[in-house]
Amino acid sequence: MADADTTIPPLTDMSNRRYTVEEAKAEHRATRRSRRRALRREGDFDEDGQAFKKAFDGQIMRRLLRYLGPYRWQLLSGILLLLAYSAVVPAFPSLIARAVDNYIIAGQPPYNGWTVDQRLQGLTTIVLIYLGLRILNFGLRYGYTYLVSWLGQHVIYDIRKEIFTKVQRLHLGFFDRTPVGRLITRVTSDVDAIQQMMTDGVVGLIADIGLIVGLMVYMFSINWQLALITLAVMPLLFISLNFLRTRIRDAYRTVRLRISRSNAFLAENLEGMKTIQTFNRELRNQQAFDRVNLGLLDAHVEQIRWFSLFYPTVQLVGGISTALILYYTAWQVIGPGVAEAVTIGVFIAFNQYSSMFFRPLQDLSDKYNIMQAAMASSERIFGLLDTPELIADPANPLGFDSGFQGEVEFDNVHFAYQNDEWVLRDLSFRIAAGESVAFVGHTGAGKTTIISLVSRFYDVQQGSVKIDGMDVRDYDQVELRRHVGIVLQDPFLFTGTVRSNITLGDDTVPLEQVIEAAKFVNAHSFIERLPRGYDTPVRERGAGFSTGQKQLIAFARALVQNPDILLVLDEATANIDTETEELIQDALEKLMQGRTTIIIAHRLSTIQDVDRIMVMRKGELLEQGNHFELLEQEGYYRRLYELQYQGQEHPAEA
Amino acid sequence: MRQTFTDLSRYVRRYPGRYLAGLLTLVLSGYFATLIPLIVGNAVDAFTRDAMTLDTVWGYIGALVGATVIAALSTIVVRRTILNASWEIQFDIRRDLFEHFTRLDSAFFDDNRVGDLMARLTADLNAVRMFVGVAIFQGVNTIFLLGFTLWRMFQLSTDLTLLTLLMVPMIVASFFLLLRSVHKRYERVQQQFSNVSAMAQENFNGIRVVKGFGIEDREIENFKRLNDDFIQRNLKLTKVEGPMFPLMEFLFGATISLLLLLGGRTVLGAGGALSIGEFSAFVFLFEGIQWPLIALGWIANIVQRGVTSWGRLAVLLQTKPRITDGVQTDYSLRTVRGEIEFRDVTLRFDDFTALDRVSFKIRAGEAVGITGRTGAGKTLIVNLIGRTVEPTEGQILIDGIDIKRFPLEVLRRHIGLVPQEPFLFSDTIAENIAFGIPKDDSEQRAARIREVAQLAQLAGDVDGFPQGFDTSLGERGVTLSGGQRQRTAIARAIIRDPSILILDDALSAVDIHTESEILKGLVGVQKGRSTLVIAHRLSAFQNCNRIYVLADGRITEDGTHQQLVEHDGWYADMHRRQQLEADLEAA
Repeated sequence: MADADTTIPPLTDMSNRRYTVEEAKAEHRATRRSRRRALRREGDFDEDGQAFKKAFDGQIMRRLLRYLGPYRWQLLSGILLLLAYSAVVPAFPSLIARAVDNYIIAGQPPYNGWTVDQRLQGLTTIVLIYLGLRILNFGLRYGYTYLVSWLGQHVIYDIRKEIFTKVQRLHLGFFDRTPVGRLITRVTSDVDAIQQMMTDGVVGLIADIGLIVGLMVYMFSINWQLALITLAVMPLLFISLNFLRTRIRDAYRTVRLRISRSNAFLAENLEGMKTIQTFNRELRNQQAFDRVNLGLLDAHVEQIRWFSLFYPTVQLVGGISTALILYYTAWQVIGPGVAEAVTIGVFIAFNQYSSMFFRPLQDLSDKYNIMQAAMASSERIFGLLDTPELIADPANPLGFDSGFQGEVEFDNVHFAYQNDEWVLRDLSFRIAAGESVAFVGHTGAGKTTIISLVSRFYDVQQGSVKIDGMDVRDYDQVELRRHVGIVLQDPFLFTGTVRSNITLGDDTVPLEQVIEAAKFVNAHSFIERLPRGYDTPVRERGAGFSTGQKQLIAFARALVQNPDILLVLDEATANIDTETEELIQDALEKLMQGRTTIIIAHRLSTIQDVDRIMVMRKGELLEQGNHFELLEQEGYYRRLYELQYQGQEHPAEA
Repeated sequence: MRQTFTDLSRYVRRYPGRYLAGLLTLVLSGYFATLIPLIVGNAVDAFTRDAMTLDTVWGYIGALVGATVIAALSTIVVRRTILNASWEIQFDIRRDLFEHFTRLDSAFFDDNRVGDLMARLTADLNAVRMFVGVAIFQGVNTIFLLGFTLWRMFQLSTDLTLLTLLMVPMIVASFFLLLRSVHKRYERVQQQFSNVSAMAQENFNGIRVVKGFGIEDREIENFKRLNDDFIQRNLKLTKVEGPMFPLMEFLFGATISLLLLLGGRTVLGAGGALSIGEFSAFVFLFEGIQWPLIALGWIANIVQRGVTSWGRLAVLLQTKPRITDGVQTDYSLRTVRGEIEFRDVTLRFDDFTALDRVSFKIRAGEAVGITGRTGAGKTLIVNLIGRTVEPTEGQILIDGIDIKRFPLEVLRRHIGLVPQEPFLFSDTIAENIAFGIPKDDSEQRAARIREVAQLAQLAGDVDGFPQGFDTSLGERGVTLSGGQRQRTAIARAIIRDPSILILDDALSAVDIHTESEILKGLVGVQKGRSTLVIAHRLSAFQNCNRIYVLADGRITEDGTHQQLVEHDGWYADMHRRQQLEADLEAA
């Protein structure tokens, strides 16, 4: 400890000396170019470091489209409106062409013989038709916009629900590995990307293609040569856009990956802000956050690099197309081949068509971006949805008519959270129905794991855990857990009220029962003193409640459930004062009557009345018997006990 | 609205070069984009006058392609300047928000759900970024385009231009009416989005409870209900947002009808006032501003959203930390010896008196214990010393100086707090222990980490992990047991050699033997420094010179262990009970 002071940093006035944005960015900017290559490579991997299989995955697309199935009628009517719209829109230039050729210029028979009044009347008629179609157009477009939005909302609702449901079904080991921030990104921004794809993307695609087809029909029927000329630039456009697509897709993937990273960092830091402040880590975590976000900034810049080329490419090709129309017209009108003379009206119309034609094409490219974003998001969402549920229910789970008898048996159980780090080794024991058993031992002996295995939060690697003689894997897990009450060591409170936290949102539990349970675990008196009693609002994570209070609420929660098998982690009771603990002890004893109880205990004093004590050491069962038998054995338990006894004997004299 | 512009312009002004370059390029692009219709119009006139030859047509084509190339190039430049700047600004704002969060006190984090805050830093920030990026770029683009178009239109035909100008305000007005209700409904959508993501976040965090009690279906039902409402709000938004573009399209169509009617009359009637080429150039020009004008509505939409979102972010940025360095702060105070004194400290929350005239003194170097039943206010004393709450009445002195005069940073640096439920980060165990000391790769540091881990009786456990101290923890340290987490937190606190060490029920999940070992080790470390131990288990007070008993916010007993036992009050009662338990075990 002598050199301790040298490791303590010199005091800096963090409140006064914050480093500036310029400082944060300067170094990063200098090296941005060199990181670009790495950035592109990153686009090949998802956030778990897995390489993407395909650039544009038809399989994913098909799977996404399947979500539209339930809404096929809405989709169909939407598409019908859309196609009607596509059929009406190309009529406008041709109406203008007709107005110009027939009435305004009237250079050809029979119109060249018309009087000015006749021509004006003809013009008025055309304009009225034009206006009428515009009104129809309005109705069609509003109609399909609403339908499509409705559709998108419902599809996204289904996907979001599916993700949420899936997450509920996933095994606990999954949550040990996956940051919550990442899961949040799945139900928020990833889902949004898919929604955009459904509304602007898929339906937009149909709209664009519909419009393109509609325009082509009109163009070819007016003048097929000119139509071909106008479309001649298509291959050029296609090739250049194809190149840009790849780059944009990679950039998008990197962006999403880095967004997810930034969100995970942020969520964790917000939750741990108090710790950050306590340890004066503001500056360092800010710097770390900056690094994460500068990486994100890079990805965005890369994305814009390619994205900025998209529209100009379309613009340029559009210009070339107009030039071609101009040349062809000139060639037709004054050149040698006067096969089918191009009129001024047709020339004007084709100029409009050309720009109208490139608009959906241009949109197609935007659609492509939307699709890319959605593709990356979908890959992640489907990745999550396809995560194997390691704790799966059997095809025909065993029934629950009247709950469990309560016999618990471990049969040669081997268990490891990771690979070969065995937490339990060949553990076997049997707990009779109604028996109360305590597990003791040092931390890390595997006691907590036993409880997780009875609740089937994890599956054993070898051997089996049985309840009432049947493997826990043969039951429906949710049903199983409903009959196995558990008091966890981390008292987690939900936003809601005290009451909803005790009932866990089950409104069918009458208030009397809630109060009864609260009284039973000695929570009633403090709850009653709260400003609104049982209806007192609980904020996120139970902020404002002391750990002891949270514990008591968690106890009442377990009691309300009235389980057949009760699992208790004594670490959970540790934060409650001795007095309250005695009452809980009393409650537990009452509870133990007629139901199997497994208590994981650190303090031997809390477990004297149990029928049997099992002593664990490094994942193995060392000794078992009741308190007195074990003391007489003069083994490990005796030593554990003596250590505790000494600790309590001279609390203030050591 | 104005406030938003002022606020955001501070960020925009950090990138003057890019915005200026972008805006200047927009002038070019506007000029050349509006030139193209004139070229086409001239070509039409050339055709009608039979003046077009296969030679002159190349002049038109050259002009056409040239103008297009310039317009396209400027688009690239504009996007790369302004849009990039907007991403830089997003970075800047996100950074400022984070920095601000680091200054806010725990009351703020109790009041604001993390899910809500996340939603603001993602969705709202994105809306603001669209505002300073896309909205500015498209907005200015539209203005230049409109300017050049009108200028060219007036040159072609004053009458038709005035007619066009008659229609434009109608278009703009109807749009803004729709936008206003879009704005309101959008707010409600965003609110519900927050609720949805907050619920998901809470559910994922509490998944152990959810699964342990088998309430997945109920949670799914709740989630569904929130999402049902979300859909309803979204559809209400669509009802007013949906007609915006169709309406625009219609109004444009109506304008073109009028142009066709009046323009056609002029061309065909008066003969010469307006050529067919000029007329078509006019129509093309008008068609050229269709999308920009529609975009104007879209931009207005982005601006609306940006303003709304910035409003929400500004509220966050304007939240003042209630506890902060102030006028009283004495920056010459750089160190803390460890003497703590409470003088008649009272703490009230609304009507509830949590602490009632609490007075005590801990001399530097002393170890003091506080016990009492749940809810007696023990943790509040810890919070008061760490200055995360401030007393309603009374005074707290550190080294004889009012606690408010210490810079917060100095205070925190010298207080080692081990809370009831320590928060660990998803980093390695080594980095979690070294959380409060600077990062370097020195062997000294590694040795120090090991040293404190040994003191906290954690080293043995860690050595059993596959990668030892480099083992990473799950997001909330899930792979560690409660006791291991507490011991990690103890190591994390003592590595900083705090002048005041506070163990707030920090050994509750640790077994008695380990507790005793840790406490023994602390005696050496805390020599000359103060230690405050809060516990229910009296064995945790083995080092304490003096113990206070807190009941209903008041100190009811104090003294050494021996004195308290003799005093025969609550403490003695507790002691007897715990003794009895021990004796029972001995039987």
